[in-house]
Amino acid sequence: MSEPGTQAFSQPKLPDEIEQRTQAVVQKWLDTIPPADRAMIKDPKQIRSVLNLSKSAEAPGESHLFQIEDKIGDMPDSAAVAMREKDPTKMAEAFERFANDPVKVSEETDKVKNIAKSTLPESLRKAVLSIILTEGERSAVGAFREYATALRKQNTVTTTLNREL
Amino acid sequence: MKLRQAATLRLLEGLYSELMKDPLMVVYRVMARQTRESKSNPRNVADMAKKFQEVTGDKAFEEFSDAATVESVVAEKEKGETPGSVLYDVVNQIDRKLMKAIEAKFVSSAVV
Repeated sequence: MSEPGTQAFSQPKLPDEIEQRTQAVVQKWLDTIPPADRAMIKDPKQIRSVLNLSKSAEAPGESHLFQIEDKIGDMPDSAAVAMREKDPTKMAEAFERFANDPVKVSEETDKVKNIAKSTLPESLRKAVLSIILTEGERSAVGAFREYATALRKQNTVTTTLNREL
Repeated sequence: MKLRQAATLRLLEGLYSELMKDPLMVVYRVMARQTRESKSNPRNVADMAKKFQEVTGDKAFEEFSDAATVESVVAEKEKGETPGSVLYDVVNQIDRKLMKAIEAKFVSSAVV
């Protein structure tokens, strides 16, 4: 058993295979990000966003990353059920139905916009949002349609992530 | 660790590799992993205060960097305070100071 002082400093690791796949998926995203957006830290707001995001990703529980994850709880019940069942086909169908519902889409558009209010570079914001919820900071309609499409492809980033979650 | 957390970290490491590997950031990330409970653990607080001093040279939390004395310092400071709150406050102060040190180092050096 670890010493009490060191135990809290340890970080659970993903299984090697999943870690490698995650690396590969992330590399694909990185390849799409312009060099100008990499490493460039323009102002304190931006670095605070990076710090907060990294803190969220490191944190064992709370944090805004999880608040964003909670938004998934706002998706249609059918999609939530499909997600729990890890059924990409059903999820795709559910998200397509959702994307075609103008009332729900309007509500969801606002939520997505609110989530995307960040001072991170646009390309990073898109990539992070891809990880978390949609395929980008676009309209909810587009995002959910793309999400549905991505789910169908099964070999996309979103599907890979959701399958493992 | 959840997959999406790992993916976010890897992405940040890829985008801001210099920042994410910096000793200041390494300590900041370690602190981010602390639970509320561990932030009130004298031994953990001593570890964090020590690491903070190592990477910043700032002795602001020196009195907390020795695990043997942390409890007595806390006992003294906690008179009239909520038990545990002193340590928790120390961790939050270390966190804020680290954040400012990181901002000062990276924002000023990266402006174009």
